[in-house]
Amino acid sequence: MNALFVLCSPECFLTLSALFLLLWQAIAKPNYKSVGILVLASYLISGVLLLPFVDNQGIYWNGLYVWDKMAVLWKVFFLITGFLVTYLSLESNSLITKGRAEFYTLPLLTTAGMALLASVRDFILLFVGLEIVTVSFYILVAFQKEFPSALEAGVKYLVIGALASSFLVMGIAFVFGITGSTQFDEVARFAQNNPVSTPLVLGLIFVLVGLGFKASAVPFHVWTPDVYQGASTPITSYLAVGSKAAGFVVLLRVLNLPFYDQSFQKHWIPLIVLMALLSVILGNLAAIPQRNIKRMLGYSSISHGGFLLMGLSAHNTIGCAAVIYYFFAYLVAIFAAFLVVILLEKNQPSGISIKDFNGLYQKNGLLAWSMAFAMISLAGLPPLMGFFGKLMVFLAAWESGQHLLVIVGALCAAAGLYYYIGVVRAMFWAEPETVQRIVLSPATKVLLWILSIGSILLGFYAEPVIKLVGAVLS
Amino acid sequence: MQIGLTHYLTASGILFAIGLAGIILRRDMIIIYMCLEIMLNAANLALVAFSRYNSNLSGQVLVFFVITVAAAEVAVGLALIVALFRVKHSTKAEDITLLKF
Repeated sequence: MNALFVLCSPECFLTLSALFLLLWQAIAKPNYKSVGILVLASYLISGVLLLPFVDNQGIYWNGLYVWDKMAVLWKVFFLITGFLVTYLSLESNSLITKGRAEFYTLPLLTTAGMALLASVRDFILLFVGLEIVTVSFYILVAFQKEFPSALEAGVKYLVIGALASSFLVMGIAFVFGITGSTQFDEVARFAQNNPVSTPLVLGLIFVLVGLGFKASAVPFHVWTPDVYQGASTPITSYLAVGSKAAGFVVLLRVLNLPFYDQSFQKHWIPLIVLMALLSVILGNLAAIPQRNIKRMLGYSSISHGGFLLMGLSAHNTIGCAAVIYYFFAYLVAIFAAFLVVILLEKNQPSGISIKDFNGLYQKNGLLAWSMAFAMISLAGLPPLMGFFGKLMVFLAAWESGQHLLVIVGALCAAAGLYYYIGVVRAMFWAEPETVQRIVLSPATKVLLWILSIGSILLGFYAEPVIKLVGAVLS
Repeated sequence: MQIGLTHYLTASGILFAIGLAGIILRRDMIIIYMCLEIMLNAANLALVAFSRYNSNLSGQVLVFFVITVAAAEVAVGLALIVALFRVKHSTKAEDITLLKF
């Protein structure tokens, strides 16, 4: 265990660079744009520093922290997320009037918390990591404090988030009380040798409630549409991808180690199946009448949470691989969609509705095509990435015998086509009120091209990604 | 009467229920926030009791983390509620109705 390894891990490096940048802002009062570029650079450097340690394997600090291939893969995922969020924040800088430099720096700490969550092996570390992410999100959501809607979103997120964390602590208390340990391996060993008692099941349920909030699964979803609508757009994309992924990486860890035993599985599988069912139904049906694009994507995020839970309910390797592949598909599509929303918001800061997409193709072809690919990928039509994600999730759930869940899921995905295609129809076949060309910066053009081509290419050639994920899990 | 683990857990359960009921029933943001703290402390009480009766200290270590995190959460949360009060001149839950379907 060498010190270099600790310093090079994303959680340490990102925290140090965030502290350095905050101090630098306090002392030198730099231009906010240069801070943003330094933040982008710290994500890149952190990714490079990760390279020498990709093949490391080990469990450190009395089983508190684990470094394996899955942890590395998720850390890379969170670094990409953080990088894109900062790029989106730089792109939408006209919307943030005060404290722009802090607005770029704070996500570094959130990403550090997420990277920490990728390697939890103890309930204490799980709680701390989850709270680093949640508390920094309270600030980020309510950052535009001159807008009542942002503050309202922040307060709603705060109340529900704090409620979820008290359930999580109570659940951890019961698991600790019955098994006598907070370490994942110890809990798993206890479950192998002892019968699972009612208080332990209660603990399991409370922990699932706490994590269900992060995953925005029904019935713990109430905050999602409001917070997605009220928060500034880069933060909404961060919530949609980063915060949800943080919830799912913890669920993957928790359900595959301490709660993996048969005696636990017979309690949590029905609960996960129920949450998945409710999420796909409510998410897809409630998204249909939405007019505000961010609110619509909020409900769509609930439904994607349902599809991801479907992969978890399969409780096998294919299911876990499906969840990870699905997340990469989701990342590509969501960031493309939100980048387009941000570019449209520049002319209309009061919020974008579906009507504002009318005739986007005539204003800027690249924007319209990127948004169309994102929507089609989210809807799950072939041959884009989203289709293969959904297909794998369905296959995994079908193989483990969740036939009803797969049938309902497929029906809901078909219903979901309606609102995704509604956006595409507005862009290509509706007449705009004014035809005013939208000019893009070269970097944004390149990013839109990368996201669109990636979404198609990794859909056609899904095999290498799936092989990579399979190698990580084996 | 010997005070045992069950008594502590019952007290913790009652506190947890009081907190949850308060969040659902009360209409003032500050009171709701206090109820959230009651729930966190109910969990802390359960952790300390379990830790004492298991003679394992890691539960009490977690309590320290929970207290620290709760302090950070209160700092952020109260700042948010104050900022909301400046804009809306109210901390009542029924006045926070800008974002809805």
